[in-house]
Order: sequence, then C-alpha cells, then structure tokens
Amino acid sequence: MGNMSGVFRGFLLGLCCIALNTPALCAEAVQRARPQLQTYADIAYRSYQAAYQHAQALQHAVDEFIVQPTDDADEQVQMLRQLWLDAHASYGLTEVFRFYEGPIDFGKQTDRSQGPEPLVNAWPLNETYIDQVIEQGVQITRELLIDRNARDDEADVTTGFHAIEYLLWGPDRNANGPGQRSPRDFLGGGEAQRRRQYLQVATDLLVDDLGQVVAAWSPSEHNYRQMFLALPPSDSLAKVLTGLATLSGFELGFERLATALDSGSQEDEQSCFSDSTIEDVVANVSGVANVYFGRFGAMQGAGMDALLAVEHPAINELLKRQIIQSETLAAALDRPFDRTLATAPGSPQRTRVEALITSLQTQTRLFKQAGAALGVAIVVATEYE
Amino acid sequence: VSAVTRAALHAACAGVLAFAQAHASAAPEWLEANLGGDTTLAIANENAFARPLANLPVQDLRKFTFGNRIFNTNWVTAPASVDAFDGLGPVFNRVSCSACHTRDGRGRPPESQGEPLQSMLVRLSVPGTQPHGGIVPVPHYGDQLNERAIQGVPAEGRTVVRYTELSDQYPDGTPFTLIEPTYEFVDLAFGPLPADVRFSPRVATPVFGLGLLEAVPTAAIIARADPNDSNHDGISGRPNWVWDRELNAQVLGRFGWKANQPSLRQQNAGAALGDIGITSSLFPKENIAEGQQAAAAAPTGAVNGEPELKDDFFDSLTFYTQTLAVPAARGLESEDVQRGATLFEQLRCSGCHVATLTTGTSGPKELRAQRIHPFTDLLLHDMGAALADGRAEFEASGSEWRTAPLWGIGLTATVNRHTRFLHDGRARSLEEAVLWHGGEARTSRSAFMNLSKEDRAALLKFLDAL
Repeated sequence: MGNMSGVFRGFLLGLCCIALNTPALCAEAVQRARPQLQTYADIAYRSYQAAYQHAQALQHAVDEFIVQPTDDADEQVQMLRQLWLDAHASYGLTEVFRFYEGPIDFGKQTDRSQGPEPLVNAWPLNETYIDQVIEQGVQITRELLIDRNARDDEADVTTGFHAIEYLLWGPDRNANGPGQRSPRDFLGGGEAQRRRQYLQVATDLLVDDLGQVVAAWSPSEHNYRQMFLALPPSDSLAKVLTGLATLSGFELGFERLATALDSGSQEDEQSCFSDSTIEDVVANVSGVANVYFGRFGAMQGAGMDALLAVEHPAINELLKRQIIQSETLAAALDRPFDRTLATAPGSPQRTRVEALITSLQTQTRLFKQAGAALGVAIVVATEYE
Repeated sequence: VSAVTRAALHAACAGVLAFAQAHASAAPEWLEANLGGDTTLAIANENAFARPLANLPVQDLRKFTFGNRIFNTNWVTAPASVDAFDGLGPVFNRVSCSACHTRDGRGRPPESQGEPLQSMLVRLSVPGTQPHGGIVPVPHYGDQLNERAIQGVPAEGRTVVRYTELSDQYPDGTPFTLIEPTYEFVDLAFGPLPADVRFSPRVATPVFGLGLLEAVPTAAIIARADPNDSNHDGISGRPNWVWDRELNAQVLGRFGWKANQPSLRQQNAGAALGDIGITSSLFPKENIAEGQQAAAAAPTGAVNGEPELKDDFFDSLTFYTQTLAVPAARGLESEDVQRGATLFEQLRCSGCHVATLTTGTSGPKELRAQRIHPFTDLLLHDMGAALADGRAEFEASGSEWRTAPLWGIGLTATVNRHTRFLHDGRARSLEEAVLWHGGEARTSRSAFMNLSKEDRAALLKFLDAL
C-alpha cells in the first residue's frame, strides 16, 4: 500500500479527535462560547466604527483648514489637535483586536498580505524623515507616503496617527507640555503648503485604512467577521484570548511601558509630540476590559466573564479583579509621561508605572490560564506559566 | 459514545495514527515545522523575525524588549540631549542596527543605480594578515567603506553598483537570466583606493535564530569538516578559526558571511563600531582610520571612560540577538513541499545546508539541547569563481563562504519586501541563488538544472516553506 491521501488521513484523524474528545476541538465549554464570540465581533465593529468616525471628524476639519487656513489658524489648529486626541484615544480601544492576524494586522486572509496597522499607528517616528519629505518638494501623494513608510528603516514612519500628530504639534522640546508648533507653519506657500498637503493626504489615508477594518468587522457581509464567526469556536476563542493576553503583558506592559522606563528616553513614548501617552495606556487597558466584560459604551452583551463564571469561576474572579486593578492603576499614572521618564529610578512616578506593569503581567498569566481551562491554544509572544 | 465503543475506537485510532505516521509520505524525517525546536514560533507576518523565543520565560522578556529598543535606537551625534544614545560616527554606514537589519531581516542592494547603500556595505582590505590572522585594513579607509559621516566630517566615499545581464537556459530549454554586479567607488575623500585593494560587498544578514547557532557545540561543527575531501564527495567544509578578543584566543568562527566572528557579543560590538561608530567595552577605540583629521577631532559620546554603548545596554542587545525566535515552517502538508525536501536531500544540497543540528549546554537555558533545522553546517565552502570576492579573512579564502542558514528564508518577501539573496544580494530569487552556486556546489547545481520543471518548482516550494 502506498501513501495515504492527505484528505483521507485528515478525515480519519478528525474522526478520532471527536471520538476521543480532544479538548482543543471538542470541549463543550468552547461550544457554549458562541454568544461571547458574537458579542466580541459586535464590540470590534463598534470600536473600529467609533475610531473611524472620529478620524472622519478630523478629516473634515482638516479639509476646511486646508481651504481657509488664514483667519483664525490658531483656533483651527487647536481644534485639529483636540480631534486628533479624540480619534487616537478611540483607536487605543481597538488595539485589543490585534496580535492574531485579524483584519488590522492582515489584509486579506487568503494571501496573508499585510494589514493596515503599520500605516495606521507606527512609532517611534523619526521626525526629520517627515521634514525631509516635505523639504524635498516632491508631490506629496498617498502612493509616495505608503512607499516611503518604514521602507529602509522602521523609524522612517510617514503615515498614520503619529505622522499627523507630528504635523499638528511639532517636536516636544517642552518639559511640561506638548510640542508647540506654530500655526504659522501651515500658512502660505512653499513648505507650509506642502505641510498642509501632507496633513490632508495622511489624514485621508488614515480614514480609508480604518474604513477597511470597519468593513471587515461589519455585520452581514461577506467579510472577516463572517469567517471569524464560522470558525470552530475553539479557533476564534483562541484569537480573542491571544489579543487580550498579548496586548496586556507583552505589548503594553513590556514594549510600551517597561522599555520607556528602562531607556528613560522620550523616543519611547508613544504619543510624544502631543504628550498624550497616558491617554493611550488608559485606552488600551479599557479596551481589554470592554472585551472581557462584553460591553461597549451603552451596549452590554455576553462577556468572557459570563463564560468563565460557569467554566472556571476561580479564574474569572481573579481576572475581574486584575482587570479592574489595571484600570485603576492606569488612571492614577502621572501626566505627561515624559516627565516620569525623566525622574530617577525608584521615583514615586516610576513606581506607579511599575505597579501597572506588574498587574498587566498577572493579567496575561491569568488569560493564559483561562485559555488552558477552556482547552484553547493561546499564542502569546512568550511563556506565561 | 458508550464506554465499550470508546475503548474500541481508542484502539482503532491508535492504529490509524501509527499507520498515518508511518505512511504519511516519503518526506525526509527531518521535515518538521519546528525549525528551532521548542523555541520555534508559529508566525508568518511582517514580524516573523522579530519575536522572542516561544519558550522564553516572562521574567526575561523585559530584557528582550529593551534589547530590541537598543537594536532600533537611532544614534545621534554627540553631545546630544539624550546622553545615553549619542556618539554616532564620526563615520558610519547607518544610524541603527535595524536600519540595515530591517525588522530583524535581510538587507538588499540598491534598487536603482545611484541610490545609496541602505542595508549593505563594502568591506575593504589589502593583502596580508595581522598577528592574530585578521585582515590588513586599507590605509586612510580602514576595513570598510563608511558611506556616511556626521556634520563637518567627510564620508569616506560611495559605492555605485551596476549589473550585467547574463542569459542562459536549462537543459530542458527553459531560459533564465542572472544579473552580475560590478562596483565602482566614487567621491573618495582620501584619494584613490590602492591598486591591490580587496573588497567584499555584503548585505545585512537576518538576526533571528543566532542564539541557537551559537549554542551548537564547536566539536559538533568541526566533526563535519572534511578539509581534504577525504570521502571524495566533492564537498570539503572547513572551519574558520578567528580571533576572540574577549578570550584572547583563536576560536571557531560562526557569524558573518565568512564565519568571521566567533560570538554574538563580538559580532554585535564589531558592527556597532564599524557600521554605526559606537564604541563598547569590547571595542573602546573609535573607528577612525589614520589620516582622517576631521574625524579624529570630532566629539565622542563616551563619558567618564564609559563607552558609548554602556555595558548593560550591550548585554541587553546581545541577549536580544540570542533570543529572537525562528519562525515555523509552513505548508508542510503539501506534497510538492515534501517532494522538494526529498530532492533537497537527493541533490545533496543538504551536504552543506545540513538539515539537523543539536545544541549543547551553553547560553540561555531555553536554547539548550534543542534539535534544530538551520540548514547550515557553519563551515566554509568554496563557492566557485563567479561568487568569489578574492578577499581572504582568517582561514576563509577569497572564494570560500560560510553555508548560509536557510530557516525563515521563505518569509524574506513578507518581512523585507524583497527577494534578494547571496552575500551581495545579486540573486533576485531563490532560484537565481541556486543557479549561482559553483565550486563545491557545482554538482548539486547541475543536478538541479537537470530536474524536470515540476521538480525544480517543488524544490523551490520547499525553500519557500522554510
């Protein structure tokens, strides 16, 4: 007898899995998670939709500013900055939907092409690179910005929230507040004119990129959401927990907070131009809470807490407490973050950040335990046992 | 399902599993997704080379992420407000590690003539050896062409790459073209390069999996050496013995295109100095060739005798390069991939691109005793005249190169948005890279060319799955 055909083999192995009740595919708890997955998809849609609408509000204001930037430029730039802050805080709530090759990280699931994330929220950003693009006098187009983005150096970020943030605030050389770009940088011809053009092109691109993710999660279409909900629940549940676990301990705890403390450098501050990094932290932590408790704004659906309360109440109690503690610790952080980074090791400000880092690590460990209890495989960047 | 039925099913299934494993296919036994053993991470996106070992304990993660931060640091001219990260240059190639090793991946030659070298550099020397066996630097230029410099200091020069197209065909009549580079050095700040200059253009190598390669015992590597080809298989394989500055001894070279660096610490500190102009405790003296007056007068970022790259930063950086995970192989259930793997072995590609090595007991404990599939023997092989750079380095002759690891190679396009391979990036695809193989690999290349179109495609599909 020759080689067994792959399909036939898969069929037999699949039968065996069901017969032997292998947890990864067959756990009953996982089958009961369908309401949670439905809620998760709803929260993802509403979160991206909110970020998209905030970005659109910024886009409209930018369009008006570009047409008529002279009379009250000061006020207009102030308004643009506020709209940026609203949009970015709103985007921070969506980052819990990253890290498992969903639509923000992966474009088309079929060819595994890159999703819009590197165009939307990349940092740290080498601001002189953006200045060079403006100074070069080349036509600033969407294609140019995409082509140049992080091409030869990851820090050569030309697109997304933080490129727009730099355009609006300028470099932050101010110990007690954000960057202080003069609105005059936008007035007149030459470089100012190209800076306006850059602002418009980058904002339009951001809106379209976010729109693409909204479409991927919107109800009743032939899209990612549909695929996500049609997956074996163990697979989609693994994605949910992977996003929760990776954002908490790895991305926010280590990459964003611990690294900044250890370098003491403003470069490691996510929103360094606008001094709104703490708002980003608060938003990430809230995004995790939204998914775990199954809510978004006034909407209340089936949370992960309800699922675990049945399957593993002890882990649920610990997770609930930990998530609330992380929210409390995040809210208590000192603003602006760069002033904390400038303090000596052991300062009260740094200690408060360290407490949040510790809480986030515990949170990730608990998410992994929740995954184990439900029999689903979670891929976090590392071991959390 | 009743207990009896369950028991019966259990027994039947055990049989099915055993049969399925025994008869799955004729693929080589080493074909598995976990190329890096327990350290392997199943990831296939832009960050596929940038993640920590899958089994790295959480208490080490902070060191990893900080090392990543050092790797990404854009060094600035001293003195700067950010004291910890100043001291760039005075001459340099790029301002950060990640500028060449973008997303911890592979560099490439310029895309168009006249574009500066971004993730590639040119090593220089004149004939001869130094007391410890190393190369002799070029007077006024040093051991590599630094194409950038800080303000007020002249850059050493610029490399212009040109290509000639070569057309040929497979025995079955399928045509192919290769491009062969030539190099010109222009804007030379300190006069023409000497007539007997030796130069070697090199793209940045991927950074992941290096801790595992460092953890392979020296004895296991030299056991595969066959300098005189005593088994008459046409493949020799020689270790490079290089100078370890920390041990003050000659040890096995493992890293770099010619296995010219003995350890990740020395590799990293050497690159920090040579490529960025950053001093460390291992290389405390600035990289300034004699006669470069403006460079010699430039301010340094070293404060109170502490080097520009502080020791704890250096430790984190090295830890980072030791603990970047190898991404898992993908699509191994494909029959083409399995056939390709079999052909890889039959054509004796695996004679040098050794499929399986086992790590020893050194380094971080997650790296120990791992069965890994790097597809390298870490030895030097003569690759023929067409690929020769004519620039000997320690034991490596001008036509010898270290077998390049192949793990992760199929993700190059995903991570680095290009498919340029070999030491100078001349190959525009893995197929072209195979076709450039000469010297000890001549027989394998001929065998590849004589395969059917389908089998050639299968072999390449296997490489893409890595």
